[in-house]
Amino acid sequence: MTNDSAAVEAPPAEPSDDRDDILLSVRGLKKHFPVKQGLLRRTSGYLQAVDGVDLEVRRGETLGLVGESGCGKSTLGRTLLRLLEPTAGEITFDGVELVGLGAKDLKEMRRHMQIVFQDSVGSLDPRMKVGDLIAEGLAIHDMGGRKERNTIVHEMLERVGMPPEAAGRYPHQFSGGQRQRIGLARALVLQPKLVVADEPVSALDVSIQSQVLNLLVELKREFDLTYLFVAHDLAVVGYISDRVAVMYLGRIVEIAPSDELFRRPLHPYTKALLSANPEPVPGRKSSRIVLTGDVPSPINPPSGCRFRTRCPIAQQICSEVDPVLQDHGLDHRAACHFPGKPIDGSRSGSA
Amino acid sequence: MTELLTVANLRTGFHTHAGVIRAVDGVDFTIVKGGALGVVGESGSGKSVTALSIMRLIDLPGRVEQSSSILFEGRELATLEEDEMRKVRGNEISMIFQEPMTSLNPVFTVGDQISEAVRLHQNVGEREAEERAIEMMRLVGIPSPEKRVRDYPHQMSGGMRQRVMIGMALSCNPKLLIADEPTTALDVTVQAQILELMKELRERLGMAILLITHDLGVVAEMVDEVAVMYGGKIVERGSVKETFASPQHPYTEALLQSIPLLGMRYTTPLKAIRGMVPSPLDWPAGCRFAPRCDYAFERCADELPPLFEVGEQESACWLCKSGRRDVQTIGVPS
Repeated sequence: MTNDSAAVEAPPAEPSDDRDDILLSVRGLKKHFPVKQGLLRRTSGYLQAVDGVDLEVRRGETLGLVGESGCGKSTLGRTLLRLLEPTAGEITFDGVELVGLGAKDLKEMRRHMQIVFQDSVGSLDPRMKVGDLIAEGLAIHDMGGRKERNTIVHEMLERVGMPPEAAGRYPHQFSGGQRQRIGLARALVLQPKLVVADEPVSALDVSIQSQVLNLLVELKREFDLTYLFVAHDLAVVGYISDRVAVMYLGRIVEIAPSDELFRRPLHPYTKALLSANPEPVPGRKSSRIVLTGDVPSPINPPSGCRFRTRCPIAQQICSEVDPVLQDHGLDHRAACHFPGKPIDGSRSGSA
Repeated sequence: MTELLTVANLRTGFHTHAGVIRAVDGVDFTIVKGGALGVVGESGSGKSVTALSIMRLIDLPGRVEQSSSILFEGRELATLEEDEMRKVRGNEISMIFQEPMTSLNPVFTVGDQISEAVRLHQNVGEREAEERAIEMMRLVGIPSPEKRVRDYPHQMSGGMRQRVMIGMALSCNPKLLIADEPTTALDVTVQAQILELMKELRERLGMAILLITHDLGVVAEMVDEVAVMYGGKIVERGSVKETFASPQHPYTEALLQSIPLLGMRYTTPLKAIRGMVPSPLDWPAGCRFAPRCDYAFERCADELPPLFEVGEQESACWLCKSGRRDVQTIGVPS
């Protein structure tokens, strides 16, 4: 366990081969949704929300998953908890293969993996009292008696910075930030190993966002947690994460330790995201890369590299050969035929 | 430079059964011809109600109070007849909103909707109006506008729809464009496109912009002057450069410190502003930020501070009464 807490402070710079270090591992994960059209609702195609993702979440780390709407980041977060059934691929959690696991065994595994959603109104049943909402997990897993559950609920409320009276009230009586705290208490009550946080601060005002981010960091230390933090805001993801994976159209295009990714972005999409991020520092940006067009449809993604239709440095090869994630040292991988190639008008350096 | 819009003592209240919600509670500012002002604040600060009040789009039970003055090129908009106001709205002053899907009518083509705005305010025929619509769509960077002019809103992406909204807003050459969270619903790479477009058009057409946003980053990129709102009031204003480098109001300071910048890490906790925005039904008697302020002292709870001049900036904080506060600039990691 001492290893784990050390990993929280300073993530290992080099990938470790030690399987014990990997809490969750995903191989070739795909999630396709059928697109139905016409009177007979025939399947006319598939929306390839997640299309071939390999990913490892290391024990004790926060892995950030960043990308724009429609890139598949939320679908990935849900599929790897098997809240959505994967179309293909393997998911290994703590040494157990989740794909094909029966309902009873899956329920047992779910104790160890929880999720917090962006929409705190939609994810908390308005007819349940906060105390019951938090204790629901305990009830489902038949843990503790009424009295014991009450004690745990009060402890959890205190840990997320809420008064004990909150247990007797309903979700609508709380603000967005407070409801997000309730969602966290609900997720942590079973003492999970992994928490998937899906845009947990995106709906909050900045002053409340910082409260919840600080709380997430504290809780992670206290409960020895591993986070998969899904969000669209690169500065927020970079702040809270040890490593960051950048997604585009169902694929991971770049993954690296947070500092390394900002210092040496290799994929042109990562560079564009970095330069598009508006910062409250006048004059900090000397120039910016403005991508043309919109994200293509995940029903019919471009051939070869999926980013090529918007890429400022795309060449012939990009439409022909689908680039795979390649190692560039310092725990840094990118899927690009021209990694680190300078972009005109860009302040980002080359590799 | 000549003044285009002067808002003085703007007060807008919503008269509900629970009492009067004083959403905007005494706001003053001026925008010069061709100028750009950013109004920044969190939810409930009154920034959007300020914009809607200028457009006279406040519905009952909301009311712009009698004492308010909205001078636009020497004309008092606050008391203007609705008929006259209709000639100003969409013509001399235009507005774009956060949600381009709900602001566009789903059963008309985007071309029809831009033409409608043109025909309402300018004495032109159907043909000419459509040509103007195509011209506007080209101006806002919509590819093959001759074809897209017959598109319905649902056939376009969010970024394209916001371009249509901007095209519509600019179709009558307004002197002032009010943009209320114009990029909040968009992805960052599309946001970058729209911000660039708005900057370019402002330079080309010479119109003034009132930008309403919660995003300090967008303010820093778009405008030169900023007004920070809290609790229905402007608590600080000045040039973006000075204000962000040396915020004089503790709220501005805390806000800037609570945002993670690119490259900041969790090993340094973010500034958390404790508590929540007070209720507009019952503002605190003194400074409205006092209950959450780290620097608050006795006077703050009792007396509402006016805006004090601090060099080129203004700050509504008792600590600024006798001059500049020594505030550390925001920590930009190297």
